[in-house]
Amino acid sequence: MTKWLSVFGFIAVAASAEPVLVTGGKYTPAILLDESVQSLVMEDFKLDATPVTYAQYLEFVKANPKWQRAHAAAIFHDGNYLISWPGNTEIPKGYAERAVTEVSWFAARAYCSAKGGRLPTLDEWEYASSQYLQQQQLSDQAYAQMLFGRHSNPTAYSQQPLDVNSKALAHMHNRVNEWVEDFQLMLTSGDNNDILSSSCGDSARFMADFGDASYATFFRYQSRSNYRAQSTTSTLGFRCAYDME
Amino acid sequence: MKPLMIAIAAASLVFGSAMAQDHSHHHNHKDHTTLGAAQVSQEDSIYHLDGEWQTHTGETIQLAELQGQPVLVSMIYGSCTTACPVLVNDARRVYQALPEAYRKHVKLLMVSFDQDRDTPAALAEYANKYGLGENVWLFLHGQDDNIRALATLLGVRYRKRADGDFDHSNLVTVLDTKGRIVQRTEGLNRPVDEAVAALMKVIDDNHLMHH
Amino acid sequence: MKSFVKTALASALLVSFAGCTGVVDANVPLKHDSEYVIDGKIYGMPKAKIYRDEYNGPAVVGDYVTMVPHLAELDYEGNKEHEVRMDVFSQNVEVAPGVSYNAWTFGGSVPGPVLHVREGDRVVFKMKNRSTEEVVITKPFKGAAPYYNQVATNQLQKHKPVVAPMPHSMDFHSGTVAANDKWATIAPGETIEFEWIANYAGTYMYHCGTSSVLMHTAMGQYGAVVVSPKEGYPTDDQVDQEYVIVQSELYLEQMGDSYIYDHSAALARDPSHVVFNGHVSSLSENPLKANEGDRVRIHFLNAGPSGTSSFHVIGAIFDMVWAEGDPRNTWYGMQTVLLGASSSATVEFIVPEEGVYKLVDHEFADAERGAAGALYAGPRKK
Repeated sequence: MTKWLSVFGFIAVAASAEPVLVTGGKYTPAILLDESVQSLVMEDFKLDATPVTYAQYLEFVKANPKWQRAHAAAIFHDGNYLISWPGNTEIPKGYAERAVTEVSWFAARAYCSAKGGRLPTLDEWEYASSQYLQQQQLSDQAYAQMLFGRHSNPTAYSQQPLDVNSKALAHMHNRVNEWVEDFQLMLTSGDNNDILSSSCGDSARFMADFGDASYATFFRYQSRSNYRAQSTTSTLGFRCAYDME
Repeated sequence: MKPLMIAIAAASLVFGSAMAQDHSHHHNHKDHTTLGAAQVSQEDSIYHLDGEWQTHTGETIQLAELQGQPVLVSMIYGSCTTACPVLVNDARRVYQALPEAYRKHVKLLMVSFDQDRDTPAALAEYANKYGLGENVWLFLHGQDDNIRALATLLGVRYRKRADGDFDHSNLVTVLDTKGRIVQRTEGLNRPVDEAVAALMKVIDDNHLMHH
Repeated sequence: MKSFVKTALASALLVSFAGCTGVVDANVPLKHDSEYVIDGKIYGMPKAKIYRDEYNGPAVVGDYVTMVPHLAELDYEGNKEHEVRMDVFSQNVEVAPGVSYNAWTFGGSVPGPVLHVREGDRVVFKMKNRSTEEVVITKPFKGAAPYYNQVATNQLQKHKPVVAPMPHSMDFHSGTVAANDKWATIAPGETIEFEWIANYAGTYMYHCGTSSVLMHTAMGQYGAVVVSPKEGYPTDDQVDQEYVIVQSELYLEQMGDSYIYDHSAALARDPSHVVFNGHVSSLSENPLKANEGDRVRIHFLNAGPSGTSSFHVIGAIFDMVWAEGDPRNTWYGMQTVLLGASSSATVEFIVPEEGVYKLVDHEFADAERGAAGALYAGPRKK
């Protein structure tokens, strides 16, 4: 069984998409992390076309036994790391082309590092997301509905297979939440005030506008920042970023 | 999308002017914005982190080499002029409040956020300024990814600003001999009693005084 | 009172300290070094604890924790320390015939459980974020609150466990504490534990305060705490029936076969449903019961998240109303009580005759969207 799966995993890896170039440029985030910075200039970088799959992650843990379920140091996860896996080098049946989940931020970073990459920064991920939305020509309303729809039933989305041969960015919003390097949200509005120390409902000042799309995006920022680096859930995955040569 | 476009037009920003605006915004507060520390809900050793660090004396070490003694750790950056010197001084205050016999068993670890500017040489200068003699301070310079991982384990939140300075949490943490978090003091110029008691307990529990 | 402010001393001192509380107020037992008293109320709770634990016991624990419209009887004298647990997790619930959605819940229902305490009581609260688990609440569970059995015998919401991992928090309006500490957000798998004192009598909302608070509350994360006054209400010995009603809006839209949260509608305050006790039929399928001549007391909370409520009982007049449930805030002879979001009132009325009394939000746009129910009155028994 293990053997068969590993063969299958290898094929999936071989068929997986190349990282795609995200062309840099000026970018106005929907969420103002700092009241005094309204736009950013992003450099070129590369980003995996899709979230990392189970098959890819299986290859990684085979090559890096210390990231196998039974061997990962307790400090790097919340106790549910790869909890659905039948064994250390065996993924659940039928999962090969799904986005890998039940991975902590530490595990995601280790994977990307092993691939010669890193996790995207929050700005990089959101910049890629905004470009992706333009490519998709998705209306703000449709985008918002998709995101809130996923939050209403996240498991159904996370279990869908990925388009592993995609040549362009894919599944930015319709599979899993994704780790970013600096996931702990840091919204500041003057000294001694940041969002984690403030109470509910007082976040409108951080939004560039009050459209449907911005609320949907902001909700991603908000929920992402409240995970711990050790968190593993069945709806939280990642993709890797790469610096330009 | 329309309001977004207006926002761009109104701000008409390129990165450089964004930075300039950032400066003017903060002109009365040249230093950083304090970020609240994150909760930590793990109880294991942070010495599982396997990255390499350069000390202010030019050596290369891994955090695991600090095992066997209690460590007082804080994260700072060298060009920070207000909060960071206070954090370093807070660590020194803890050290000086320890009974004489306990002091030599404690390491004061200061880890820099600033991969680019806080070279080992720059950190050596910083260490000299704060005295206390050889082998008490350990200032570390590391790579961004290791800095981020350590900060995350300690619950120190930080971000680099466009002007190269850092917004960060002010946190002094006591680690036991195995590198587990046993006490945290958040804020500047806080009473040192709890940190002192935590360090003494680690030393007593491990019978370090008899060695 | 300054003598109550203590510095951190050896825990041995706690014993003697507890011994001297009687000097100020025999009913106010201090527990932690950090606590102090102003006007008979206790402040200065210790810091919240956040940790991971393997807990998989009953999701709702507490002897005085019930399902709406029930209110547990306080069968003890004076004050008490309550150990209460309300875990947070997702549950598919029906809110109207054929309309169900994956709610984010405290304890698995919408609204969440009702907690009943007495003014001055201490609550030691625990909550595990179990949004990564399928939590079943429709079967009795040893050690669970009375709430469990009440849910098991009232299947109107057709509870089905679902997994929807999400960070959450708990904000008790009945607690006077530093919100950034006690109402902190916890990640899936984490448990938060904190204490609060029911310093003020009244009926209070609790809800999730995690951003977006509009979404978290609209998804179903709210409920009521009833803090009965230390000296009681003046009518306590005349009350025959006591109930709790929580009104709230739902903002749902259809997507395929199921319903999802509609943030645009929530922002526009255009609810798909407005409900009493979580279902358009809660108080029609299971009407409140009383008899002719009874004095009925209702603790009515408008949880919002954003709308007002104009609560009215067709055929009755509220002869006593305590705004927010505080016995010092007495109103008389009210036909309708207007409540903003998170406001409450404790109302009483005499059931004049045997018959059916419709309960409505007299803002008829809300009544037409579900905010209606009934009280069935039997013949006079007195």
